[in-house]
Amino acid sequence: MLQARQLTKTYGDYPALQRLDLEVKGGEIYCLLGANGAGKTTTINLFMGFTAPTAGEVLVDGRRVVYSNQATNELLAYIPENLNLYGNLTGRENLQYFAGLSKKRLNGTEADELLRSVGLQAAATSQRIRYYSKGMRQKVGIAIARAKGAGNLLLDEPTSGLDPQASNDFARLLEESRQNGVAVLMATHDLFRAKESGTHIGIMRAGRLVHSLASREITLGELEQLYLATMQMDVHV
Amino acid sequence: MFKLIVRKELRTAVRDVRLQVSAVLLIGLMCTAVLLGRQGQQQIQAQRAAAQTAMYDVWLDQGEKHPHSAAHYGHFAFKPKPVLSFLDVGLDNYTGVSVFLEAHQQNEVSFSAAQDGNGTTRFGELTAALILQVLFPLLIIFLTFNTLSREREEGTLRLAYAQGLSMRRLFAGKVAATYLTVLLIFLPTMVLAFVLLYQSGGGVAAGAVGKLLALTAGYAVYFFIFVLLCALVSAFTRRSEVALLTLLGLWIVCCIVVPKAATSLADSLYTTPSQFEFRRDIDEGVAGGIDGHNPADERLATLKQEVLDEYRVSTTEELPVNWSGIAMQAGEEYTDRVYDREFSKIEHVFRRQNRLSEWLGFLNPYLAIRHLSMALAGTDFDHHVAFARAAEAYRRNFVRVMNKDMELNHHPGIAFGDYTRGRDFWSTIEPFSYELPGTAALLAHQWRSLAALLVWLSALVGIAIVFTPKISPL
Amino acid sequence: MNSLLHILAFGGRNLWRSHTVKVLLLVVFGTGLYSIYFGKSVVDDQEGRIAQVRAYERTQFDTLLHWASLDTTSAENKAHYLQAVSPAGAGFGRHFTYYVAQETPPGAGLCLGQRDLYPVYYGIHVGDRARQMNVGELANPMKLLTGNFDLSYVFVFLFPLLVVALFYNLYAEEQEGGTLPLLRSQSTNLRLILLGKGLLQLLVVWGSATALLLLGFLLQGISLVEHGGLFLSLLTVVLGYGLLWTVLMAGVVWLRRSSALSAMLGLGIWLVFTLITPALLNLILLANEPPPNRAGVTHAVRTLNDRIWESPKSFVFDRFYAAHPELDRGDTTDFNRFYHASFTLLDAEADRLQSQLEERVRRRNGLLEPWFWLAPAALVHEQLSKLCGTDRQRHLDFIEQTHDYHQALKQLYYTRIFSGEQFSPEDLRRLESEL
Repeated sequence: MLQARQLTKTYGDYPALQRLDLEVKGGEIYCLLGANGAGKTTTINLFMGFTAPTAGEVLVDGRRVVYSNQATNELLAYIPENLNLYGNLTGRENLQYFAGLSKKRLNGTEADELLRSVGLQAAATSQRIRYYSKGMRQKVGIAIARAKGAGNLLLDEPTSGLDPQASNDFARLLEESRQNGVAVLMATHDLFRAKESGTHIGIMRAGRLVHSLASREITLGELEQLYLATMQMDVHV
Repeated sequence: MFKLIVRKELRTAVRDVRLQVSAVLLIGLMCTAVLLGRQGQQQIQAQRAAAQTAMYDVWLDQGEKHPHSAAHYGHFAFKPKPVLSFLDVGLDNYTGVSVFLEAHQQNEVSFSAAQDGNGTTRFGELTAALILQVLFPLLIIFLTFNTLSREREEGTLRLAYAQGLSMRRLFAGKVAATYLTVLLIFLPTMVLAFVLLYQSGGGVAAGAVGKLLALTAGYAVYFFIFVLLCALVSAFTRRSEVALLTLLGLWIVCCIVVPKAATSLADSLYTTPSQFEFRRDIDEGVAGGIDGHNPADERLATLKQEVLDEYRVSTTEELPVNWSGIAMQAGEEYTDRVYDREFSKIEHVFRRQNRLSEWLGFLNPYLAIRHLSMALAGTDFDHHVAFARAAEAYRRNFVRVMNKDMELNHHPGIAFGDYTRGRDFWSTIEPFSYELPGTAALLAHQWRSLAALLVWLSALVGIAIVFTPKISPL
Repeated sequence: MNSLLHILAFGGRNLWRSHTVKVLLLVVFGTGLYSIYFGKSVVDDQEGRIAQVRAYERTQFDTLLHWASLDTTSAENKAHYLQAVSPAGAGFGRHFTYYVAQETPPGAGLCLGQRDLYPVYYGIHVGDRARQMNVGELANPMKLLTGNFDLSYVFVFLFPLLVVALFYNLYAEEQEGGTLPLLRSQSTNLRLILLGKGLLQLLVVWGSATALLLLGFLLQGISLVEHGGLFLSLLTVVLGYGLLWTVLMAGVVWLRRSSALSAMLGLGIWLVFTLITPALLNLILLANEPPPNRAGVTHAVRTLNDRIWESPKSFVFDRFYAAHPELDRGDTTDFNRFYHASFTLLDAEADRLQSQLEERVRRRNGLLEPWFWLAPAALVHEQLSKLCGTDRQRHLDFIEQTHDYHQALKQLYYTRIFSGEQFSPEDLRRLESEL
């Protein structure tokens, strides 16, 4: 379970995030929508403990996230927007390395197994990452997240730049995780993907969570109208 | 987990074509430097040893003559080319290599290689030291400048952080892996150096192995300092390009500009007296004293009176000993005293000049390792002075023996040309031999450089321990 | 042409506003000014040493003139008088030591070259020459090893680095800054754009080189009117060298690699051409031909000297009179004549061996000459030393002059020593004006 309470982050005078309250339970996929600079990535970074909140707090499975204390990281899995990995290592080696960092030692077969389960071709596992497409890299990212077996997954615009096929594969893998009871928080620009994959949707504007709703309550068309209306709204800081 | 990181880093490094190429180039260059350097060193040493032996034979074979003539005929001392000078030629090209030893006169150790070279000589020889001191830091910069900044740029740092990896551990792993890579490139050449030492036959020169080990350890510390420094810059720089430019700038300042500026500055701070002043001061110092060839002097008169009183006679002709022998030896000793005083003055000026760059080792580790390396290779200023002093001591001894013989055995009334000695007597003077100072003495002299390296090491380790947890994954 | 001007105009504006360029120029001018100051201080020091011996020579000669006019009734005066008027000096002492100095060449402060390795003066008397010439100047070997921080060092070592720093991201900055696609989409050829930028950088390099050289002349007080030729020759060498580095860096830019790789490549080339190749050439020379043993000459001279003293005087006189019949007055016993004649024998022996040795040294140094082009930095430095009159050859010329001086000195003294004449005070004054 991911929780944010009155979470606030300012950079100098600039408010990146203001009094955010948010809760994502196991088996839910919460999609954060919003323009660039709305605070989506900041939210994710705060959950990951990459940066310290100015005020408020972040909880993972009820445990408080403390900046530069990585204790809660074992409960979290993370896939960044641009998953670059190590170009000179193979897909398998990258997975083994990162899984190993979270104390999950995988032998070659286990790693290959996991990579195949996220839809990577068998031949690709022993290829160097620099020859991978973005979609393939994201799959390795999922495999890394899965290997960790964490109950919470944070995704920062994971589908940007993916072709529709890859995007669809990705959504399927996400759904599998959800069914396994993982709480997923995903920042995205993709309204369609949010509506399709998300169980809940939040729309952010200038550091504030303006709307938060269940995705079955709304159609894609309504979501788009709501989004555009939010973007034009005057926000009083 | 530490092992995991190190293994991954090594694997990435080994697969890097650029690293492969530069490692091969460096190892090739190092081996060339060591092999050719050893060849050159052996040739020069053989040449000097042969000259030294030949000159001793000439001394023995000089024929029957008066001992004072033999003292004038004199001797040569050739500076042995230190066995480790093939790793660091140091000052060797700029200090003299031989000295003519004769009665009444302290000649300078002369004929430096640089004086016989054209302008290119000033660019130095390619020795292991040049590569280790100047090129290796560059290799390290190249290996480490983006080690953390690149992971940050590509987002893998965030991923690793998300996986629960502590930044301190990641930093340690990266430092260890880079350091291992550097050692893998560095150590084969040192092994080659060891092999060359043993292979030369006739046993390894005393202390050479210890010095080579100390040299290896010194460089190992130097590299560790650079690895830490570069990794820290990379860890706390936003962009790889900035880290690279910062480090390259630092390298140019440390390895190219500061050493030259330091000696230039030292030269203007502590003025070197001229040869003319040096010789004039000696002459003036001696002029107040006695000169064996000039019995008009006051000191000589006093000495004469003392000797006459001692033997209770009234003229030198009545003495049972040879008065000229006594007078000349007294003259020698007086000149020696004046010479020692003036020589120490010069030595002191040079030492103060060198001190400046030794102290600067605390600001620039390149200077510290440079001094240390030269000292261990036997090519620093201390070694030159030690040789000059040993040669001068040898001169004083044989001149003294010659004068003593004249004093005791060349009885008054016998003409100068009628008293002669031969080979048996000449052979009582042992051949000149000079042992390099031992490792302990030499390291004691180099405490500033040693301390500088240790201060750097501990300061950087301290900084790394305190600040690496603050490395931002973003 | 128009588009090139356009590129130059905007490129220039860009360059003018770049902090990197300002910092680089600050560093170059800072080190340049220091090097000019340093060169000047070394030259001043050398001149100071020359002035010192000149002053000493002056006071000593004045004393000699004074002694020559002394009333000889007292024993002390008599001894002084004899010292002043006897060409052979009194006892084993010499009559007088003259100092021959090498005038400081006008450009010496800009490129100190090899001048710091040798004395700039010699004390010369009629005795055997090898001994008088076998002195070095006192110098800290550490400083000789590290070399001088003079303007030639800035030109030879630091300017290439300036070129590397200015050129390495000529292309990469467009790519990494994201302006490349935009540039490509314009009607002007990308190569022309890069050429324009490169030209500007070259102008910066040339401009600062010219400015520094000009500053060097002005601050060291070298007259541009008198030594205009020297200025132009130095400038030609320096600008040519700058161009060479520009061409090398153009090669790096042409590879179109990332800025980091280009910087490393540039620095690599710099290392190879300024540090590695000259050092490698020296190493190969050393391994193949160790420097000759100069002590051989000293040994030969002392051996001859030993033979002279262990043999009857006729050993010297026979040989000396055969070569100098004009000095032969039939005397074969006088100590002073014997003593001075022996110097001529020693000089001849030393000359013979010395020139053989010098020939070997010349040949040894010549071995590298065909390979000099591999080490442009060494080549340029040697060229600058030559122009500034501080190379080894200039020192050999000075030694040659000193030899001639010694020869002339002997001529003047020997006629008197062998004829038995003494110096009159007028003689001494004439001596002063002639030498």
